[in-house]
Amino acid sequence: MNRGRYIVRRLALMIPVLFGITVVVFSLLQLIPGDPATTILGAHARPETVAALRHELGLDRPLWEQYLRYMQNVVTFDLGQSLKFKTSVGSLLPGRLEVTLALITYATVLTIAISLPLGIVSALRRNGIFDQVTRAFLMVTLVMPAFWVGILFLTFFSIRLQLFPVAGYGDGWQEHLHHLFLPALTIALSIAPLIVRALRTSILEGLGSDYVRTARAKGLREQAVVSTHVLRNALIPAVTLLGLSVGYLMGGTVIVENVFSLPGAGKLLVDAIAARDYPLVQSTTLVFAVLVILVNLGTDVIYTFLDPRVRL
Amino acid sequence: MHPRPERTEKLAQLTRQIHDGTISRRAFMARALALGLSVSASDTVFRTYRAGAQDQAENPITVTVGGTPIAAVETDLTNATPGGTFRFGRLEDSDVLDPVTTTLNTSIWYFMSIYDQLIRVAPDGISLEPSLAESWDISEDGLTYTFHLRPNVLFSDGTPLTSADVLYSWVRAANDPGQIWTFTLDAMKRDAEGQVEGITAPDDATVVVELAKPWVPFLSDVAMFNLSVISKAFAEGNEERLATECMGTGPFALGEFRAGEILTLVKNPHYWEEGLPLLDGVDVNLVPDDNARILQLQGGELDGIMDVPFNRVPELQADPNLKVYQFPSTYTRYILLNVREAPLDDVHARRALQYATDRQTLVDVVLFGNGIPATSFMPKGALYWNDTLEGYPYDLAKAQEELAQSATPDGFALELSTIAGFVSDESMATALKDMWSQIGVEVTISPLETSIFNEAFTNATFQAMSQYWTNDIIDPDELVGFAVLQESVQAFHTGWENAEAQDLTRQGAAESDPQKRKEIYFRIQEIHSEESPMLPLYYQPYLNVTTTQVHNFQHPPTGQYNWKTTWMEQG
Repeated sequence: MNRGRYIVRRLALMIPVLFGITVVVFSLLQLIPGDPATTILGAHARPETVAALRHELGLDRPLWEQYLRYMQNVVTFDLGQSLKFKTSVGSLLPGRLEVTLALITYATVLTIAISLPLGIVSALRRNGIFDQVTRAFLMVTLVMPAFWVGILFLTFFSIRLQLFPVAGYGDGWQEHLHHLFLPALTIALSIAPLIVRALRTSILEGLGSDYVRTARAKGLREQAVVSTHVLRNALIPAVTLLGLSVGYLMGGTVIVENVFSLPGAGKLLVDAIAARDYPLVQSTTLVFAVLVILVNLGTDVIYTFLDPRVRL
Repeated sequence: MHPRPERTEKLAQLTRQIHDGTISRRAFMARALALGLSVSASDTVFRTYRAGAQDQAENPITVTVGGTPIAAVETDLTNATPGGTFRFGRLEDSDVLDPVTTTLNTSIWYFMSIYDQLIRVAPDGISLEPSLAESWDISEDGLTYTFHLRPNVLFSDGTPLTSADVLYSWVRAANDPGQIWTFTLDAMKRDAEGQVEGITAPDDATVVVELAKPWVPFLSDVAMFNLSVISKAFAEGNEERLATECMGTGPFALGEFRAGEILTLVKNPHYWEEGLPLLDGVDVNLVPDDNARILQLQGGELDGIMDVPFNRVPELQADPNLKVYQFPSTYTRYILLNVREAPLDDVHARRALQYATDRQTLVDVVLFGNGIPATSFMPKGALYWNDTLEGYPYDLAKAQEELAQSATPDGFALELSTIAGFVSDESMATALKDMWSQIGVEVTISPLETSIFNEAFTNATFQAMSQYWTNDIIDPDELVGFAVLQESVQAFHTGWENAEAQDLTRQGAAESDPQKRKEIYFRIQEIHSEESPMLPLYYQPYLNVTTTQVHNFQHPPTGQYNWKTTWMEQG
């Protein structure tokens, strides 16, 4: 089966998965205690007003009808009306999603930029000064919580040194790059330790393997051995980890979005859940699910470039 | 249309003058007697309104720079430099900017700079003054209100304000099914389908409202945000736009609202108060992280912030570049007691808890000293707050005495519900647990997620619960109705029933004599204190911090920021 057909097949399989996700999310939202009308109206709510609002929001219809109505809209790409903001989800989500996706992409690029050289050099100069310092430093950044690292960066680089803006997303892609650097770096520093470790281990494994001994015996220069043979294989576990981390980041960027005041989709989702804003939660989760599936698909496709033994 | 009642109008004028301090007692007595009041009635009226003004002196605004107090509200604007954009930072986002369907203070406190009402709350927070209505008449029977609109008022797009805009806005506010502020419009007449009737606009400058019953809080209701005047041309037929767009007559117009990011206000060039506002605009930035928000203020990225954690206040007060403000608010924190079941159905058990609560320590521990121990369930400084009510001083001996007279003399177990993750609630509950253990009451703290907490509240499935109140209108009827009446909310969901208090509450809403009203509300507060279905803990001020370049920053008791006369040093 060739790559093209494989991708199409995976995309087709996405549909039933997404259906399943909408059912699960819908059911979970109904199961957790707390109701949108009471949450929106807060402490001053009177039962009559709560009942009126529930009726207006269609919350007193039977569950299957509510689900069906939501799905009917979704298949026509109408993601519903936010209960909290009283505007369409379609007008709220894209802008916020853009910020989060830009952040995740930027963080991934930075992670690769950090992990690749550090991982390779640590492996090649195993147990040397570079290796030990790197390991120690990354252990610290792995352990320090994101909101702490973020505040440190803000205090030092943004407020004291004024090298970076303190908040927000900016206008135009140059400003975006500038505004997102510190948040992306904060995220990268929490993922990089895992990737560096994985890379280092698999490179070391590769360096000690039979086929590498053969290559050396063949007369290949060490650099060619590493780059042509070892690296490609060593990348596989690292790519797996990276793919998983990126998938986890969808919705996991909330803390960083909070610290750096970024108007992202992670915060939108968390606030929507707290507000029991059912349409917003359902649609945002759906979009996240699509993105996670696409990232997984991408990771699987990348394998085929890395390892010819992998047959799709 | 009813003839203008001279006596009522003149008396209203005189009471305003007493409150403002622009009339001497002798002058007032002479005029009141000429109007036909008795000597004792005149005397009481005078003392009532004068006392109202004095209350303010005991509940002052405090502003400190580097720990040293400075003058709070700077009324002298001669050195004010106009211009500049005030950059403000806040914790929570607005939801909806439509005055009728909104639910959050985080929206209301900002769009109230964009919209005006016919009447507004005066800076003292307990009286009303004309806004879009220059004057109004009330019929003898209290059923008909005639409002005379101020001439030459323009919306921020330059179109003129007429009574048609008021009519449109008020009818929508009364009829829109998506709105929740129904309690203010209870007294309006309704037809068979529940649609409001009785609001008419006989000419471009007049609006007449006929109520279904006499309703003294009506003028306060008119000042509430849901009766904001919206441009009919802007909104009619296209009401969904009001969630994110505004067209009003206020000092500012909406610049833009980017949810999750920023809400900007821009100076209204057509504003009807000459020379105002002084600022070019206000940028309200969303900065969800407390540390980041304070950092931005200290680093010069913001000119002012709200939502200041109490534990950071001492450090901010010590900073010579910052002004720390404490404004009297109507924010009161309580412990609600569900009196439907034992052991809390016994008034002695409840009184024991009152005596065992060391309110000053709570203020010190939870608010780091920034608050006032509470006596009454009504907010301090609010209209008809009972300043003679002693409340319950901290007295363990008396607490034991009360408990001994109850059905559970050896103490009891108590579940206290709080909002999970809310730091103030957590420290307050922990302190109370410690205090009440001294009389044998074993508290289990039950932190609940916000939505679940609200459900427990509205369904009254709590035993004891930490709650708060802020007034939406200045009239005491809003809070008293909510806390005393059985209908709808069962006395703030405590289940408390007291026939005398309920009767008095209904009387208070219909009683037009201010002195009688004051006596009614004073008595209600006494009864509430005796029966203690709620334990008032403390009154909490509004805390804001700005740089020293900002002048005349105001946060009135109703919470709705007033940026009109705020100015910043330039350069």
